[in-house]
Amino acid sequence: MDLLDHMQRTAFLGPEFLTWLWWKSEKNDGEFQIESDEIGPIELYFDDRLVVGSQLVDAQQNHFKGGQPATSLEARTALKLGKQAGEAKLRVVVGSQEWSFIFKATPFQVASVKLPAVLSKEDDARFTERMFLLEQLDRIMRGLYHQFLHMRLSDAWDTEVEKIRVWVAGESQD
Amino acid sequence: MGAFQGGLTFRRYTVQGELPKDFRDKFQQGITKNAFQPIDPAGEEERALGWADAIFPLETDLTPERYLFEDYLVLALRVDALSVPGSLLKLYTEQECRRVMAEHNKETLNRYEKAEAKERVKLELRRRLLPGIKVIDMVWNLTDGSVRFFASADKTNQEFMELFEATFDLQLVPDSPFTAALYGGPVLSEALKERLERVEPTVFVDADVMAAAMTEV
Repeated sequence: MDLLDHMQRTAFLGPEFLTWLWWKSEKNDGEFQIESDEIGPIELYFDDRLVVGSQLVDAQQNHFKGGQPATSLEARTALKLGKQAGEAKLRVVVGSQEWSFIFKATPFQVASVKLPAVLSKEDDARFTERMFLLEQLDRIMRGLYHQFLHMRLSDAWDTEVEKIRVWVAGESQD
Repeated sequence: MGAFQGGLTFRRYTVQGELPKDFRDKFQQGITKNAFQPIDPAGEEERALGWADAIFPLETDLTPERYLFEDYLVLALRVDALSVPGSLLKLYTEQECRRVMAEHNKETLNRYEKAEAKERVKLELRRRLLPGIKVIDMVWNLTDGSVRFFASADKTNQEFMELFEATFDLQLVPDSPFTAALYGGPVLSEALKERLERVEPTVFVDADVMAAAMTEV
């Protein structure tokens, strides 16, 4: 199987990752720990835009805008119908810095990124600062994705899925 | 747009393979060869594409001082389009036909004369029109091999990948859930890589919960 086949065959991991982040963010009040000396503790919240759908069945996509769609009854119903998060506006907070962006799960892309304040005025310094902040966001998202993958590809995944199913069903956990 | 100012929507790629030892010389040759060349208004070409300076995209004489910023190689993909709007072409062709008929004292023109008039008008309008210019930044981190191209459209990204590979003789792999697992982040163990290749989708809802939800909606 070549790289393109692998990319197409495992595209479902994107929405699974974003749905896992949704559950985890809600369960831990947005707190995550990235296992990297450079980053450490972060907060991640779902903001005012969310798209849910299903890659496995030909189902309608639901687009939610405004308010807090991640906690809405409509979005939860979509999860109960077997849909997963395909796209979401996320906020990541590290110390006093905050990134806001749209994460598109299937192509694993970020869009409309708002960086923490860039202080430099000169072209060169401004460029270096923007790139540093973009790469920092990339390290955070890849760090979270690898946390997900380590769980997803291990024997502990079945237990994790049970907990997510309890959350989807709307039953209390722990 | 993207590297120095403006919107931050992009696709991320990973460069495959190592940089050649004499990469600066090789890259300079590739960049010069694939630098943007303006559309010739006297020709037939309606679209031109190539590298330009990211800060001032009308500059296409590209030297390392223009495209190397510390560990980054930064260029703009410049795409010019020069096409005569159909409505404009129709109007001015009619004007030219009338002029020819008056000049030769004719009531009508045959199809060949009309086609010639249309070609003359098209050429004249191409000379008078300015091309539309689209500029998209590309930032390559030469240390970690990541490339960001600040556009999301499939067609533009496909053209970018082709130009990049023709210029630098290196392959690009776009981010996806599969490639993001392998490149640019923490390293996956061989055992996990094998599992990644065989992984199957998960359903995050119990069958009875789904059935109940279906009856509710």
